[in-house]
Amino acid sequence: MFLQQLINGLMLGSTYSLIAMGYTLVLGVLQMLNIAHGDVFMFGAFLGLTFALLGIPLYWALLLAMLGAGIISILVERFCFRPLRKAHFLGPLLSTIAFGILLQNVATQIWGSEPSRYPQTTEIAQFQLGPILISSIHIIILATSLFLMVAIDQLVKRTRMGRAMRATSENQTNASLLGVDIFWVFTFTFFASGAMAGVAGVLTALVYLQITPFIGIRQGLIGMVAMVIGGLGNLRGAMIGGILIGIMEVMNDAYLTAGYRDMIVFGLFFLFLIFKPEGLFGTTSRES
Amino acid sequence: MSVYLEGVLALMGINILMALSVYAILTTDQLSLGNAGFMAIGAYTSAYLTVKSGVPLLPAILAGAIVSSIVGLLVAIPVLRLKGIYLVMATLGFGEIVRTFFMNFEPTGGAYGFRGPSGATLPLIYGWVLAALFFFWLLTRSRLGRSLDAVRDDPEVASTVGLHVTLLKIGAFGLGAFIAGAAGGLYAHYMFYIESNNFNFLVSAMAILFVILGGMETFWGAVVGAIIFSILPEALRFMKDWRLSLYGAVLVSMMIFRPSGILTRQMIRDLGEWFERIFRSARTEDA
Amino acid sequence: MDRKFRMIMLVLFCVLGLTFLGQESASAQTIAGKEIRIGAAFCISGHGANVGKREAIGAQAAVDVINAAGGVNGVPLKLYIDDTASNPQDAVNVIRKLVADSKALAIVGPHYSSEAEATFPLGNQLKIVQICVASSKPGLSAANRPYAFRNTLTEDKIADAVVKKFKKRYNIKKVAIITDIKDAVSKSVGTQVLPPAYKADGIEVITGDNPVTFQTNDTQFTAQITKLKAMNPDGVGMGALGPDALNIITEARRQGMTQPFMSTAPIMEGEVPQKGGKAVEGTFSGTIWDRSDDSPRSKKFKAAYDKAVRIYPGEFTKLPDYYPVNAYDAVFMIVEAVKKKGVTNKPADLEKDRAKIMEYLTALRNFDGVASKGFNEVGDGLKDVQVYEIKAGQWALVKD
Repeated sequence: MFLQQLINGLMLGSTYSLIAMGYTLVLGVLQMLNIAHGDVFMFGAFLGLTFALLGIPLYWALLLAMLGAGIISILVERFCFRPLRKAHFLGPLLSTIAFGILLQNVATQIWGSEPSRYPQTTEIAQFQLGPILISSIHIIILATSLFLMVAIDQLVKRTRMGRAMRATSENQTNASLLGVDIFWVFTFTFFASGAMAGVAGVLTALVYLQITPFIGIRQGLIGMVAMVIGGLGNLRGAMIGGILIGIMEVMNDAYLTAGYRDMIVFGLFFLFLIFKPEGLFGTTSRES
Repeated sequence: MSVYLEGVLALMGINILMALSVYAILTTDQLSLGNAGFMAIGAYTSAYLTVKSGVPLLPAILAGAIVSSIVGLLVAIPVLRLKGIYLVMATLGFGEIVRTFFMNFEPTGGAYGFRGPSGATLPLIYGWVLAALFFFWLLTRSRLGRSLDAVRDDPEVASTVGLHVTLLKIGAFGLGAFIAGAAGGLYAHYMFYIESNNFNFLVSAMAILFVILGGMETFWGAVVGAIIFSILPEALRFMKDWRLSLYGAVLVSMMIFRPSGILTRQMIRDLGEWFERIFRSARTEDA
Repeated sequence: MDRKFRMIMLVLFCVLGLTFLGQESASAQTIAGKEIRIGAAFCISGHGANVGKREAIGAQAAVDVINAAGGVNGVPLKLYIDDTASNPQDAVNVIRKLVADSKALAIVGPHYSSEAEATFPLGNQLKIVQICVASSKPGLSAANRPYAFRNTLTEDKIADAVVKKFKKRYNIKKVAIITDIKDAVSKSVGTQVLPPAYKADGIEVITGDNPVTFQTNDTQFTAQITKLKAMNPDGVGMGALGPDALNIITEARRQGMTQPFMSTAPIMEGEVPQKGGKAVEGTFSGTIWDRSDDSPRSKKFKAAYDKAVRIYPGEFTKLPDYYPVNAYDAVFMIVEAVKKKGVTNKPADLEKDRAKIMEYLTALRNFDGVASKGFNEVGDGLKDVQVYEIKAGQWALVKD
């Protein structure tokens, strides 16, 4: 059973990785914590549901949800970050909390407070490899996380936009003096982060079985924890951090009791912040 | 006074205390996103004392506040080394740890919650509010208050002038925790029942929003913020099921249009001068 | 310019505050004998928005039926609905508002146990009846006599009935339990209600004192099901709410478990049969009423509900479950109290009237409702239990 639980943890963790990577992208470039990120993820899941219910095939629904979530993320940037750049540095953080409340309640108005289910059009295949059971959707999520991680990594390292993002992350004033359109960088970063959250939303909704407007709250917090454990601003770190937390949660539920789960996760969060704030893999963002 | 108004004022008083608890810590430029945790400690401690040990109400709330402040002091020591986002996240983590702890802690009910505390009246709540306001008023006039300002505005200069920056920062945490603990005790004895969910992250976030939107520069800002945003959800009842969405939208808009908050030090000074002018003219008229 | 703006903002907020206070005193002048006021404290926003709205519709349906028949001695009923936002602080404000502003004679609601824990003691302080229509947390009414009532059945009575039929149908000898440890009701079902119910029927509880655990609204259950599967029970008992139960069973089928599942009333909410497909066929549960019930009273309720849906139309409120039935019956119970105890509805008699309603409900043992018979000596509902199983995407009565 231990091996199976390990695999379960790996699968769960890969869903956390996707969310953590979106978080860390924004933090890395703008040194800002977007607490509405979890709710963007939730909205992505619901957008995917809406498109799927309209009969759009799953892959297109995924793409459209990705687009939609990216756009909502841009709205977060426009309302919570851009106007508050000159204000107290925690203004944007708090504004994203309020925006999150707004998103949750708007989602409740549109889709109701009770859980919604994805149409079971794609049968999820289960593979039995010896003593362990793996589901196809989990493999897809793991593969997608890896793919996105590599893609964003390459984007940041090799493309012009990536250079612009790195310059902005170093020093916004210098970057703009050097000709970088930092506002375009902000918009793009938020869009990418939101798009990732959207993908995460749709894929994990297929695993989650049901979604409510309130799933973003906890997912957001876990994403934050994964980000810290992996190292702020570090994409690889976020991915591994997510997987580690997934494994920890599953092991806790399997061998202890579900009640201790949050204490262990947040306890680790706290300890890392105090004793190892650079995370397991080092932070690439400047301290704010 | 209508029972309804009484209720709104009671929760408003508790909100004012929570906002002040955030403000207290903010005076040293640290932002705590975990004051709901201190509130919980104060709530459970005082409730346990009155319900299970028969301790009278006021001492129990005081005890809750003291226990909470001790925890605050202990937490402040490691957390102190952190800056900015790291500090905020650490306090967030702390708040969540406390919440989960009480969800599991059977002697105070665990997931079943804790039933039985009662007796918080409006006079009691506002007694604490007035005491807190008086304390902050004294603080602004004292040398300690100026030291705190110095620590906030420029910690390096402050330490060269001989101010023990670390001690002040830890003390601020302890003070904030004390006030939040008192708020928790009053909350428990007003609501008749507490459970760990009552002390979640949103409660901490709301307390901070009160301060930021009311104005961070003076403690009156925290008070005004708490008052306005306690009344707002009630005043918006006519919105029916769009109420909470509008609430979020109002908060976001306020952050955009008035990010420095409603009250500023300049405003307080102006108000003060205006009052003084009235009294002066009244006095000269008598003569 | 800056300063002026701030002053204007401050003045605006003061005006807002004053109009809000002003509202409060204005309504104080409109008490009269032209209507019988019943308060409704439901979640119209927040987590419980869907079910809260349905409960409000259920109450409104009762009001419609009674008013269509001429009200009480010609005086119509009026339902005053206020939103508890699914949280205890707002719930407390709502009760106070209904008592002070709306001058209600009695209150139907709230919904959640966590709300009721705070509003019940308040109800005793303010001396007004509250008939909660959903909470089934053990001991809640008992701790709050005399003004607290819950028109729900506590889970132990349901569990006994369901366990018997479950055992008989599936020949259960040993059972494993999986339980929520965050939600109070589910936790009590999984840890305090089911184990003794099984033992009383001679069924071995493999998990003993350590059931498999999860938290409410968990998004995945792979760890828990892997653990359950390894125990190889004959059947599985769940301490869970509907949505979680659905997820548990679906995941179990995914991992290849074929054992049947059972639980009590909470899983009858959340559209488990409709959403679960083949996976949930054969699951057992029990409650006091289901949509498939075809008695004449149920039909009358369903017809009234369809018309009352107008107050909160939408996809999620179209179909009633047993919560609005509890609300519907509650209104009728209050009206019966009004009639039989000679409530005068005069402003001067408000406190006496409220006390009369409380006295009547305390002694009510033989009410003839859709699914309610009255209250027992601790204020919990008296009802018949029906055991149901999931068959062809619906809950179907188990008749054996």
